[in-house]
Amino acid sequence: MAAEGVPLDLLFVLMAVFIAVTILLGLYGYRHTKSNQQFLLGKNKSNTVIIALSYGATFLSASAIIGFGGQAANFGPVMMWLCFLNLALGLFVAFVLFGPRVRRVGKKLGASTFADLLGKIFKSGGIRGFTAMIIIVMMPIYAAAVLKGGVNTLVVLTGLTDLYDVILIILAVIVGLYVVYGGIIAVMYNDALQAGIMIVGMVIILSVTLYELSHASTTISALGYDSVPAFGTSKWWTVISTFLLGVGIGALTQPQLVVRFMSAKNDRMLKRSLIIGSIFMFVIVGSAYTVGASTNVYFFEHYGMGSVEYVTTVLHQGVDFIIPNYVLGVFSEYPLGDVFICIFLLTLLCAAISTLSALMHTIGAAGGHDMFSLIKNRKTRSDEDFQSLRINRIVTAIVMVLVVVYCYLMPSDIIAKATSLFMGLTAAAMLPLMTYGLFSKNPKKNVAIASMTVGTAAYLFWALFINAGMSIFLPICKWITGNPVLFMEGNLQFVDALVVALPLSTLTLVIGYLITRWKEPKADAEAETDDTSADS
Amino acid sequence: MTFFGLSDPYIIGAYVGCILCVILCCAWAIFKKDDGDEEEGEE
Repeated sequence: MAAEGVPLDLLFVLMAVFIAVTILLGLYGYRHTKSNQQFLLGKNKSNTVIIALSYGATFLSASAIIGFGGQAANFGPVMMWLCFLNLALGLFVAFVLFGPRVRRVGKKLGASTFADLLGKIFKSGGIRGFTAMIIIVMMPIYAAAVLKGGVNTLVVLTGLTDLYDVILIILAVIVGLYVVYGGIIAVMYNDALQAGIMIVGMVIILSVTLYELSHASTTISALGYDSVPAFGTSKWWTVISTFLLGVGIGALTQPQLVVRFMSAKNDRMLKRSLIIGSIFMFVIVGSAYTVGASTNVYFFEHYGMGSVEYVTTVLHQGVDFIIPNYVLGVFSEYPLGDVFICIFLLTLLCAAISTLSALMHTIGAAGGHDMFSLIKNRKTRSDEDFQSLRINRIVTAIVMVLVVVYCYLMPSDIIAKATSLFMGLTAAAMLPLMTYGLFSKNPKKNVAIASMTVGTAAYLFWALFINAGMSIFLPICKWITGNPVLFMEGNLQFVDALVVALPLSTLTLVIGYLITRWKEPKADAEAETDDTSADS
Repeated sequence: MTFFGLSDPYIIGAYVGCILCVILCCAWAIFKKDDGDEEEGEE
């Protein structure tokens, strides 16, 4: 069914035009990237529209459309609460509370990356190195999931499965080239282009879906998808803890998003970005989840079964393929359906590329700027930032190869979970200390290190030994105990690691903060006593 | 009450929450006064 519905000649023409424009924007970035600072932050080349669309397109990968959209087909429109959290936390809180602070503190301290920012706030090379290492080790998993998801969908829908390797490598090379040479300027301008295509694609799909719903003989409610899962059930824990909290809260500490704040010229620019950013996010995420849940009506009317059942048992594909198959099916019934199918595929590709390019740039900067500076500092016993555009470009190119290798090592159908894993880990490890560092007058390094260590350790332990969904990434528990998780019975295996790790890291930070507050007056008093006795 | 075939108040609440969030973001961007942005016009 799939391959027959896609007009390959039209798709190739659209792709050729898209790639040509992408390369042109890459060249624009290359011409304006003369220094390492321009490669990392690209200041003076960003404006309100670019920041808003770049933030949105980076935030929302193909994962948001087909990964979480597929989950909306599985769990129903309750996933709209994730859209709400994305808007409330990932956008409003991020742009109003964190954004201006990050920009000002980053500028004051001369920080160029997320790890650099945290390192300079706490005056700690260790925190900078640790943050950079988390980015270098964990982010490629997320990047590979994004790349693999985009290519997988493309080849399955077009029937070009024999060309999977070629398409994956070509895509990685195109993205790699414009990131390596064009730096953040090429990334942000391409993000804006891709965001524009995403809006067009999703508005068309949503409009057709609403039209279909209004003419359907059944409704989402009638099929039983219109309800929040019962409290405490495995479904409830998966939806609430993994999807809603894991991704909703995790978005606040995404290094690739924080850098967008640092590239803004002033606070007003950030504030204005909220208009386009919020509309963009609502259109893309709201459409994806609404369409995802509505696919059940379509599949029920055509095949007498729900989306998940049809796609998994009849087509033998994963939930990530629900929305693509729906689009293919529904548009084949409309005039100009071929064109819309191609626009949808391009939308998916844009969503994947926009996130992938930002991730590659962030990983490259963590290696080529943060780790390079730290290693140089250790050798020269100095404490400065070493700026090398060449090193940054070399590391980013290596990252591109690494991401492709990861694609072949990772299991299929893990887009949504890989996204949750990375966002959850960064939130558990970084959110309390980032908040503390940005808003405290005199942040203490030891408090931050304690919180970060507890958050990371707790998250990794829970993800690798307790949570069934996450332990597939690295089956250590299975190697040791023979079971995929420690507790096979009960709902504990469905509880996301963030629900445990974030409160623990926050608690550690609060306790550490209180101890330092308690010690400081004591130390001051002791110093005062010493002064008095010395005087007498 | 149904909303595009949806009847669960929690689900409808999610849609309403999203729309209110977008309105809040736009209102903030338009009406919130600049609090002395010291780097205005910086190049």
